[in-house]
Amino acid sequence: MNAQRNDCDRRRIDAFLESNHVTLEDPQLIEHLDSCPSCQDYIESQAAEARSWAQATDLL
Amino acid sequence: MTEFPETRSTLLAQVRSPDEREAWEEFVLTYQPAIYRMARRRGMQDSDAQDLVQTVLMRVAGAIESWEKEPGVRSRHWLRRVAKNAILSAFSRKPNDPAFGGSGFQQLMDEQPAEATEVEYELALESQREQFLRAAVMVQSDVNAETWRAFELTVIDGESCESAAKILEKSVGSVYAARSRVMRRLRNKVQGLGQGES
Repeated sequence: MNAQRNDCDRRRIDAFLESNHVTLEDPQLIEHLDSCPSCQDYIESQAAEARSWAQATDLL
Repeated sequence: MTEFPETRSTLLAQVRSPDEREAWEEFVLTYQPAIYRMARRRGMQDSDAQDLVQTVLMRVAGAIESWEKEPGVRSRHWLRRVAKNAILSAFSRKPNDPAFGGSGFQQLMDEQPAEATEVEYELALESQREQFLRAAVMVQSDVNAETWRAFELTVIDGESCESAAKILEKSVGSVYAARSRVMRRLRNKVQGLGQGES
């Protein structure tokens, strides 16, 4: 299981996903995602449920 | 993608009210390519598959003419039911089957093809695929090319995020961010399209 680190900022991830600005970048968040498996899992789970990810792979 | 130049303009003339027209437009956008793919999967040539699509749509449009509107029933609900039966019937009978030619509303409502379950599953899958494809086109136009490519490589082509990062010369974190952002938008678009049909 991936332990959540002290510098994990889940609200920042939520805001990143919910933003309507298509060019929005967040270098700090991306740098954190480089090395945090827990937040990698989190951003994917918040982006869409597992079923939608699987459907995208199967249907596109 | 195959174009069907005559279908929409010709058949739309048979649809009466704005409510029915909206339902019809949605139906054609989703089901026309789905029917075509199902036909091609059965070995039909392009022209034969297009003919089958046209026949099904004409049948459904013909049924609209004879439909007596029921209070409280939305156009897209009955259209979907009629269309489903027409499509199931088309793929369960040979095109020259005399029974295939009729287009009365009651006839379509009463039909229950023998192989319905299998074809029904395929139709549901293909109409869902069409929603994903339509949503993907919309999302791709909303995001920059690198963001879309990260999604395409990892979700459609099956590359790992690490592999995609090397291909794109980006960090792994940026691939996770990009593909997640595309996925969120895609899911929302698909849900929006699905709600339009519910």
